[in-house]
Amino acid sequence: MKDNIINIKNVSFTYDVNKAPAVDGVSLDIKNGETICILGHNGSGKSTLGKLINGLLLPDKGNVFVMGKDTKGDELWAICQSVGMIFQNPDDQLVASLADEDIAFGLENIGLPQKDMDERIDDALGAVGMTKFKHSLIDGLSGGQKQKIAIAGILALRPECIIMDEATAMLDPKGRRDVCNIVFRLREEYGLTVVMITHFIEEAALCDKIYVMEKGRIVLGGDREDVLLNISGLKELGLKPPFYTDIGARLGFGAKIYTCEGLGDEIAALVSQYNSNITIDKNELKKTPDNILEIRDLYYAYGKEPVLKGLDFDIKEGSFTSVIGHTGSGKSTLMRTLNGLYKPLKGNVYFRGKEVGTSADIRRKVALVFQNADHQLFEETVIKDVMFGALNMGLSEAEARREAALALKAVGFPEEKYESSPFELSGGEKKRAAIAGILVLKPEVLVLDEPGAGLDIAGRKDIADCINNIRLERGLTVISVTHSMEDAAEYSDNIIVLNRGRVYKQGTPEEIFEDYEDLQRVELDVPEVVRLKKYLELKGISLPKEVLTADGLVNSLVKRMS
Amino acid sequence: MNITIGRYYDVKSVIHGLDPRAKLIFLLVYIVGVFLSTSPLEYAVVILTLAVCIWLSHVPFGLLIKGLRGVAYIIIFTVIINLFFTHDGKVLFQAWVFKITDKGVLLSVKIFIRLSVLIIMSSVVTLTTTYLAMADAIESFLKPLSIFKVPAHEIGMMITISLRFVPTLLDELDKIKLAQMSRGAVFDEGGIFKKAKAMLPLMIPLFVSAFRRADSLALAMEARCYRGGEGRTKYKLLKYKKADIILFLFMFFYICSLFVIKCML
Repeated sequence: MKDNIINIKNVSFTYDVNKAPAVDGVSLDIKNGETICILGHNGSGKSTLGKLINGLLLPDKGNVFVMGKDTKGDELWAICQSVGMIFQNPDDQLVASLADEDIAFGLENIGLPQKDMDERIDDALGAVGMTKFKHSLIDGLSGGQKQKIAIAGILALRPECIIMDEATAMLDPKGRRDVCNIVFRLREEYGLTVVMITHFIEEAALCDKIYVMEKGRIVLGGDREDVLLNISGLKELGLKPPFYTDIGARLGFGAKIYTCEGLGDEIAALVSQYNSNITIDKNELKKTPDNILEIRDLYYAYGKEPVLKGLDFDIKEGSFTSVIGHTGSGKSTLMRTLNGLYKPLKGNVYFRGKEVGTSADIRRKVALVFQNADHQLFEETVIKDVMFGALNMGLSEAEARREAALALKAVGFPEEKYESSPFELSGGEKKRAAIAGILVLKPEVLVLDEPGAGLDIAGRKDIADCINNIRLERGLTVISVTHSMEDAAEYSDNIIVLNRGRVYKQGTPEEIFEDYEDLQRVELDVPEVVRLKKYLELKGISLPKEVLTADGLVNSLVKRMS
Repeated sequence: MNITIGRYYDVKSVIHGLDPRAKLIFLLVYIVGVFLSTSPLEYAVVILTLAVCIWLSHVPFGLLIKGLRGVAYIIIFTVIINLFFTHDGKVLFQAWVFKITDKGVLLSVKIFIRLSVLIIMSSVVTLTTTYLAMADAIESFLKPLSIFKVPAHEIGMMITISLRFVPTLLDELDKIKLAQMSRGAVFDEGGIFKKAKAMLPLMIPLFVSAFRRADSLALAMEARCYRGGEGRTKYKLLKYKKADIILFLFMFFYICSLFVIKCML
């Protein structure tokens, strides 16, 4: 009992009595100084559990003890100081306009004398590596930097335990890595207990213990190895097992947690026993479709400094283009200039050979789905919301309803929810409704700004598949901004890499991922498959260029060894 | 978006360093001075004072003018009303029901100057003061009222937070507008009724988002041990410094010169 910082005893919590409980009879002990991960889909109850731990919510049944104190007792104040919590959206948790003022907010709340504040603020900023931003305006910081300020704000309170409630979910890969590194360093240096609430298996793999939640219960849990090696269990729960471990298991290497190098060595040892040279049959279809979009010397600026600096590229009809690039590289701005929502400063976009201009008609043909579905949903029911675009096009009520139903069907939206309020949907359903709201315009080019943002792994995969299916069925051209290199490799036939407002590279996924050091230079990752392939190449095993997915890799290796 | 109130312009200047209470008192006195001014000489003092403040604040003049553009309609409307509906004085121009008199012209010019300098001076103060400092100042002004159970701290905190979310929500409104334009929405066509209806696709997502943000922020504040003003300490103690005393002297000089001019005339 004494070395447990948190004891959760048979806790249940319900938001809405008509619905199933959000947390349903959970018991869990967390040891002092331990790092645990609560893994699960959106809506699995993991965030609710986090809020129960630091007393933001109080259990309906059961008890939570923090350092022996019951959250239902009258020591909630002390609990609040010893368990800090970082939330998902950096913009919704910072109170002040300057970094130091924000960090001071918590110190003011606990009534720390003013003369001790500066020292605590400096310490906290130093711990997250943000010392030079002490007097900076928070509005001007990146998402990752804002999250670091939020962490500093909690650290300044000198807590025993820190709960990260999907604190990396809204960050780009670099921001996510940075924030993760800081949290794990804090554990080493300050002996902090860390509770990571996440749906990223990569983050779970950094923790000592992993508990998987579904429907309010812990359905799988224990030491890191045990959970990560339970590949079938993870897959059943719709979670993606760690990549290299999964490949190892599929190649029949047995249950073992692999790094890229470890797995590569084993594969190399195995393959060297077979000395077959397999020629890969390439059935290249040599057809060159027409350009549907041509972008010529495109410039755009919000203020004085241009965000897009002379872009030139073509989009072929029927292709799937992924646009990748670090935060601030101009991806979203580019998407908005493609259909004339933003008028270029210089240069032009041509749709089927004609200048796009800024008419409503072009916005219909080259239609853009925004990142946040909440920014467009507003009607009473889903079907009415989807009809909005069709009605704007001048269709009659009946026609619009028919078109809306077709669009909803195309995105696989459940029919029984057509009459639901769009505000009651899950994240994935909202996204589908938002895409349907654009599809109803019958666009020729579908432009998507980070369609997977805010969704969990399973939700992201569903949406990506859904978009690809619509494209194949309707013969659409798709342009999609993504942070996921795996998605870019799997779905697209054309990738555009943006860096600081310029096209850094354009090509097929094979060409783009060929040189991965080059991609890292512009702060991008490569898919894990590519990393493994490169390592195998060093060991003298070369795999065909077009192998860019886990399935492709396993098949190709199996073929080689048969 | 052309609204400068609620944004903070992050540079170092004498004005930035002043105590927020001193700045607010100065603003109040300045405004009273503007309203009491009638003669050209007084207006000269008013404008000169503003010019000195702008020069000291290091806020670019263009930014202040941009802020003026946001309320241009109100200014133009008031000027026109005064121009056409002041009927005494010498008639300069007359057509149909419209009559422009010399007094009308003079009054419109005065009102134009008054409103412009008021807005620009308010912008100078808000652009050079962080919202937390502003809230601290308001809280300290309201403090004496707490014996009448006025929740001074809570009012201050409410003002801070609303100001803090102005830029965030404006950016959000921009995105919502683009998202609805993507679906073929038109915002500037038709009569008043049609225009109002066209606002729905903007307002509903904005309100939903504002409520959601308010909810998350409340939770995040609670997670950082916030429980109202009781037992709270302050990071930035408000303390009058030498510069503030100079500001008060400057203010005294401003009042005196207006007073002297008034007496002379």
